[in-house]
Parts: sequence; C-alpha cells; structure tokens
Amino acid sequence: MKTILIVDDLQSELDLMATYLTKAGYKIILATNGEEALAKTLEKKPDAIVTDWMMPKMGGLDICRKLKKNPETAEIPIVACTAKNRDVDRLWAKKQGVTAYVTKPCTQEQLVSALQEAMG
Amino acid sequence: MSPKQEFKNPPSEETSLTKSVADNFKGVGNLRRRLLVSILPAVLLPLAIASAIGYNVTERRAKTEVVEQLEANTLLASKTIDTFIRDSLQLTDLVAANPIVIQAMKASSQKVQEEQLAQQTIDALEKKFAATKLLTIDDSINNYLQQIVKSGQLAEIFFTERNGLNVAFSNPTSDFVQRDEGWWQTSQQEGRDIGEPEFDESANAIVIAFSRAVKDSQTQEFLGVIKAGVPATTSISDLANYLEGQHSRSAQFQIVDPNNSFVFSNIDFTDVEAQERNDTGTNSSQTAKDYNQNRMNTENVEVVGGESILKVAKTMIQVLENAVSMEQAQQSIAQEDSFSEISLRQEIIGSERSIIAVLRYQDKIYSLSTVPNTDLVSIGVIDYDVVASAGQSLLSVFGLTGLILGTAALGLIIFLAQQLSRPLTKLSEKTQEVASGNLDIQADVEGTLETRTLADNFNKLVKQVKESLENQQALANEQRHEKEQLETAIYTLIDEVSDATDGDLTVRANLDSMELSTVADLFNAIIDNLQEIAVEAKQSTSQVGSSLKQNEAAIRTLAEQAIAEAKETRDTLMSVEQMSQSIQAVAENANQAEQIVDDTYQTIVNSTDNMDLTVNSILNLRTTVGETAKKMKRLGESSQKISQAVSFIEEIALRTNILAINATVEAGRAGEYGQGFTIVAEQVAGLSEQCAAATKEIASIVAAIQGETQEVNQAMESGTAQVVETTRLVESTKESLGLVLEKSQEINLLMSSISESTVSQAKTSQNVTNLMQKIANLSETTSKSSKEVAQSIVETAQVAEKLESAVAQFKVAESY
Repeated sequence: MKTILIVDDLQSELDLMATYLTKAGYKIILATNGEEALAKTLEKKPDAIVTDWMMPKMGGLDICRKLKKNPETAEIPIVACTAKNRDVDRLWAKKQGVTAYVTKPCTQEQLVSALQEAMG
Repeated sequence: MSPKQEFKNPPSEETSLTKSVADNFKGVGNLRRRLLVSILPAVLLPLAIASAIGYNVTERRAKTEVVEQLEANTLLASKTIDTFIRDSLQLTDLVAANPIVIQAMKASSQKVQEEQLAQQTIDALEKKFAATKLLTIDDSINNYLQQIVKSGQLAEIFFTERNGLNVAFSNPTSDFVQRDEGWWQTSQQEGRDIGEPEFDESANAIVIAFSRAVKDSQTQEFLGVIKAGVPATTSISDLANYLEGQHSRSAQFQIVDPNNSFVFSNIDFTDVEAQERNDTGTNSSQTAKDYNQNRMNTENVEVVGGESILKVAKTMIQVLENAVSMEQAQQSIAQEDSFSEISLRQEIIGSERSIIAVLRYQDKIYSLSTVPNTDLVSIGVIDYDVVASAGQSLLSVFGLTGLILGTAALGLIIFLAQQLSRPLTKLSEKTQEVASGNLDIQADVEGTLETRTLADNFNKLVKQVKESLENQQALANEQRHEKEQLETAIYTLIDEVSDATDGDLTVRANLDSMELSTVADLFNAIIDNLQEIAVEAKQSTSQVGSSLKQNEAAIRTLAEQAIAEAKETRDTLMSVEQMSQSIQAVAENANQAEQIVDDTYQTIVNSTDNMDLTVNSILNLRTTVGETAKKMKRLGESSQKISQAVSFIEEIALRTNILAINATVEAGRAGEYGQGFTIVAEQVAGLSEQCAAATKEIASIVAAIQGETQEVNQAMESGTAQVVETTRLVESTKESLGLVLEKSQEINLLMSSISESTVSQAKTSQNVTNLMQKIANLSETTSKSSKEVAQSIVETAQVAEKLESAVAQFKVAESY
C-alpha cells in the first residue's frame, strides 16, 4: 500500500483529500504546515506528496524546493493541488520540481489521476 | 487557500459612435443616382459596342465581297483569253486534219525535192516566186482557206511545206520563204506557237497569230506549218458583256502583255458610271453599245497602274515559268513602298496553274491573274472609294437601331431605380438616428424582400448593440476593481521584500494573493537561493582567509626552494655539458686509436708475408747445403782412391829402387862393361827416389785434402743443423705473428665498437644536455611561477578579506 503525505493549512481541505485518497486505497499522513511536512517526509518517507501552494510561512513550492535539494527526498513525486489555474502558474510550478498539477476544487478522479501520473 | 477573486467591471467609457455618418459622405451620391450612373453605362455601352462591331463586321464583309468580285472577274477575264486561245488552236488543228492540206504539203515537198529548191538561198527563192508567193498555185486549196477565213471569222490563214515554202494561203503573204521566221522555227521545234497580239489594220482588230506543225498521222513525219491570224474582238466583246452583268461597275479590266506593255484588251466601266451620273436619266439616247465600243478601244490605251503594276505582272510571269519562287516574288513585290494589302497565291484549275495577286496601290485595288499557256496577264482595277462606300449605307441602319434601344433602356432603368431606392432611403434615415445615439428606434419593415430583411436585421442589431453596451459597462467595472486589488497586492509584496535590497535575506513574501502568489513564490525562491549563497560565501571566505594565512609561509618556502632548485639545475647542466665535451674527446681519441691499430694490423700482415719469403730462402739454403755435403763426401772418396793409387806408385818406386841397386850391383860385377849400366842404374835409383818423394808429397796433399774435406763435412753438418734450427725458429716466429694478427684483429673490432659506443655516447650526452637545458628552463619558469603564486596568494588573501567584509553585509537566518 502506497503512503501519501497530504499538506494543507486548511483542515477542511485536508479532510476532503484524505477521504478521497483513503477511498482510493492509499495510506495517508497529514501535515498542516511546511515545517511539519518536511519533518514527516524525512521520518516516514512517503511514496508521494500532495500539497497546497498558498500557505503562510512556507508555501508548497518552498517545500518542493527543499525536498529536491536533499538527495534522500529528491526523487519523491510531488502533486500541487491549488486554486491557482493560470498557464504561468503551472509553468512555474513545473520549473520548481512539481511532478503533477491539479486545480481546486477537484474531484476524487482528478486527484487520483494526477497522483498516479506523478508516481508514473 | 485564498478565496476566489470576484470578476469586476472595468470603468465604462462613453462611446463616440453617435456622430452623424451622413456628414462623412457628403461627396457620395444617393442610391438612385448611383443606380442610374452605374447601370446606364452597363446597358448602353454594350449596346453601342454591339452596334459598332456589327457595323464593322458587315462593312468588312461588303468590302471583301467587292474585292473578291474584282478578283473573280479578273480570273474570268484570264480564263476567257485562255478559252479563246484554245478555240483558235483547235481551228488550226481542224485545218491540219484535212487530207487535202496534207496531200498538198506532201506534193509540194516532193516538188521541192525534185527541183532541188531546198538548196537554193532564200533571196533566190523569193526572187523566183516573187510573182505568186506560192510554190504551186492550187486555187481549190486557196479557196478552201478563204472560206474558212470567212466562216471562222479569221483574219488570214496559210501553210507551208516542210522547207518553209508557201503552199497555199487565204490572202497573199509578204514573204514566200517562211523558214527564217521565228514562229515557223518554234512550230517546227515545239509543235505550236502563239504569236504576240498585234493590231491588224485590214481586220481593224487585235489579231493573234497561231501556228502549228503538221505531222503525218502514221509516220509522225514533219510535213509543214499552218499559220492562222485570229482577231480577238469577238471573245473580248463577249467578256465585256458578261462582266457588265457581274456588278463590275466602276471597274476597269485589261489583258496585258507585260513583255512589251501591250494592252491586248481594255474594258473600262468607270466612264459608264460617270456618264450615267451626268445624264441622270434626262438624256439617255446613247445606248450601252456605244459605251461598249468606247471601252473596248485599245488604241493609245496605257497599262493601268503604269510601270509598277507591269513589274508585278512580269514577276508573276516569272513565277509561272518557275524562274522565281512564290516567296521571292512576294518579297520583290513587297519592296515597292507604295503597295499595301498585298496577297499573292496560285490557283490550279485542272492541269493549268494561275498566279493571282491582289494589292492596293494609289487608292485603287488591283487584281492580277496570269493567263494560262501565254505570257499575258489579266488586270482588274477598282477605286478604293468604291470599296469603302460599300459599308456606308449600313451605318445609318445600325445607328438608328442603337438609339431606339438606348432610349427604351433609359426609361426602364430610371423607373426601377426609383422603386428600389425609396425603402432604402427611409431605412438609411433610421440608421442615421441610431448612429447619433438613439438606440430605442425601430425601423419600418417594408419594400422588397431584401429591404424587409435588412430592416428586420437592423432592428435586431440595434437590440444586440444595446445589450452589448450594457455588458461592456459591467465588465469594465469588474476590471477596474481587479486592477485595484492587484495594485494593493503589489504594494504589499514590495513592502514585504524591499528589505532584501539592503541585504536582509530573512524577509519572506506572503502567498495570500491569488494573482501575485506565483511572483511572491519566485521572490521567495530567489531570496532563499541568495541566502544560501551568502552563507556559503561567508563560510568560504573565512576558510580561504585562514587557510591562506596558514599556507603563506609554506608557499614562500616552496618558492625559495624552487629558486634554489633552479640554480642547482643550472650547475648540473654545466657539469653535463663538460661531461659531454669529455665524451666527445674520448670519441675522437678512440677514433685515432682505431686508426693506429688498423695501421699496425696492416704492418703485421706485411711482416707475415716477408717471414714466409725468409722461410722459403732458408729451405732453399738447406737443400743447397745438403747437395754440397754429398759432393764433399764424393771428394773424400776420390782422395781415398788417390791415396791408394799413390801407395801403389810408392811400392813401384821402392821395387824400382831395389832393382836399381841390384842392377848397380850386377853392373858393378860386369866391370867395365857394366860401368854405363851402373850410371843408368844409379839414375834409375835416383828417379825412383824422386818418385818416392813425389808420391809422399802427393800422399801428404791427399791427406791434407781429406783432412780439409773432413773439416768441410763437419762444417756442413753443423750448417745443416743451424738451417734446420733457423727454419724451426722462423716457423715459430710466423705462428707468433699469426697470433699477433688475430689479437690485433680483435683489438681492431674492440676499437671500432669503442669508437661507435663513444659516438652514441656523445649523441646521448648531447640529448642529456638538451634535456637538462629544458629542465633548467622549466625550473626557471617554475621558480618564476612560484614567485608569482606567492604573490597572487598574498593578493588572494587581500581579496578574501574584502569579500568577507562584503558578505558580512548580508543578514541571514539563524538556522543557516
């Protein structure tokens, strides 16, 4: 069973995504900010990470950049799940190491499909 | 997660479309006028063009018809002449077929032969027959000929026998002998001759002479020549009558012999026309026949068109005779500048070929046609005005038709334009109102289907524009609101990150704004990177500084060592150079030694040869000594024999002495008588004594010889032994020399190998020297570089210090 780390500063969003992914048969770890996400990644070594972009202090792309710099975590695929929906946003996210992109609000199928795409 | 931003209307702007459109198009006419202006030419112009083309085509056809008529008539004239010539020739054939004529010819020839008239000169013959001009007068034949002249409308007819002497005639001829005449000779050779037309005063007409040879129908033997003069009047008058019926008015026709510019026939209708115009029916007493006479008059008539047309006629005759080709003829005719519209062609009718030319010259159309089998040319002329006037009458017909049709079209178009433009004009007034800003107006739906559709669509359009304007207003408001939000977000972002410009890398941009969070993230990424770089730079510079301080002394030592090393290397180089020079010297010495050893070897080789010679001489000596010893031995043996002989002689001498004593004794007994005997005995005794003495002497000599021989033998033996010893010594010497040679050879080899080694050693040492030179240079460079390195390390230390102070400006987070 694959382990997925979900990062979002809003509890309601976290719950929704957790429901989606549990239904899809994934094991779930949750984090509500960047620091926590980094710590849990190093500790639990999830198979993929689904993260919000716009969070206070450390954003989703900050997390992504930090993970890419560490060889231990560089290979973990990252899915950005965000309300931002412009071409320039997708381009920038991809440049920063995001593997797949899904726009909020999203369905379970969209999220799972993006996750599967990210994990190859 | 940020809430989605509301789409806000931008501020709306007042549209300036309300300006009156009509003002912009003051110069443009209304629909009715435009319809008239554009449709009228579209209808009237094709009408005019069609009329013009129709008129043009018909006129051209009429003109062509006139020219073709002229050409046909010209050809007809030439055919008429041709027919006339055929008929005339048939007449002579008819006469030639008459047995009476043939009989008369044969009889005359018989007579000529009998009287040998053929051998006589022409003058003699003329004189002889001056009275009658006939060979034999046979009135029956003359009458026959006269009858033919009367009935066949001939001018004259006569014939000669085979020698050209007249046999019979209808009218007396001027000559009796005809064989010197051209026509007679041509007929005899070619079978027939057509003479040139001449005006005959007695016949009061143009007469053409036709001659033909008469031959025996069975043997084909030449019997004589018949000549007939035929006046051309009848056939020409027929032609003239015919042409008059063929609309040939205003035309003139001539049959011309171009070779002598002789006008064979002239048929002129131009005067008739002029005459008729003058008369205008008041005085028409003169009949057409009078004109006929006028126009058929050939006296003092010149060839129409003059020399130029004659030249064309001549060229055509040349074409007919195949002297020039059609192309050449065309070119030569075209050279004449005053000719235009030239056409030249040939027409083959049956077996006969005619050349036909048409051209325009001096405002007249000329048509020329060759007459088959003759050198004659038929010429037809017509004024160009006549041709041009053919189309004039058509002009008025086409003009009138065009005018009526044009007027009808004009009326119809004006009516239609009125009908079409009225609803559109009304609609246009409505649109003007809408354009001025009143969007609450509705256009009346009326008129044709198109104008109704237009009005309906216009109403819909106005409604849509109204809605669209309202939407635009809302959108503009929304956009304005968005812009304000964006500006606020930008201010916040600038406020958040502006401290980074002073080196504070702890700042962070907020990701709250939906629009700017990407930019904010970009700033954060940049600031993070800068922070990392600054930290790394700080660490690096301090490391560089400290390690430089530690290493400075070591590097300085290193530089000094490098300098010392360079000096040592230079010394080594000098030693190596010296060594190299020594090796060079050794090499030279070795070379010399080798030379000397070589010489020695040569000397030894020579000595060995000499030794061999010595050994040979000694061996020879030994042989000689051996032989001498043998001879000495024989000498010893000989002296032995001599001493034996001497002892025998001694015995004899002793016995003789005893005998002498006995004799003296006996003689002494014999007394006086024995006295002499006693003396003899005494002398014999003396002799024997002497002999004994001599023998003793010889014995002593022999003994001496034997003693000496013995000595010589001994000496010989010792000499032989010495020679043997010497030989042995020489052999041993030789062996020793051989050994010396071998050794010297070895030495030689050794020496050369030494020499080679020293040479390679010299080279190697040179290489070593070069190498050392390079090493020396290198170490020089190294020492320089290490000096520079030392220098640059000092500089680097300074730079590191500067860098450290520069990086210290950056403020970074504690965690780094």
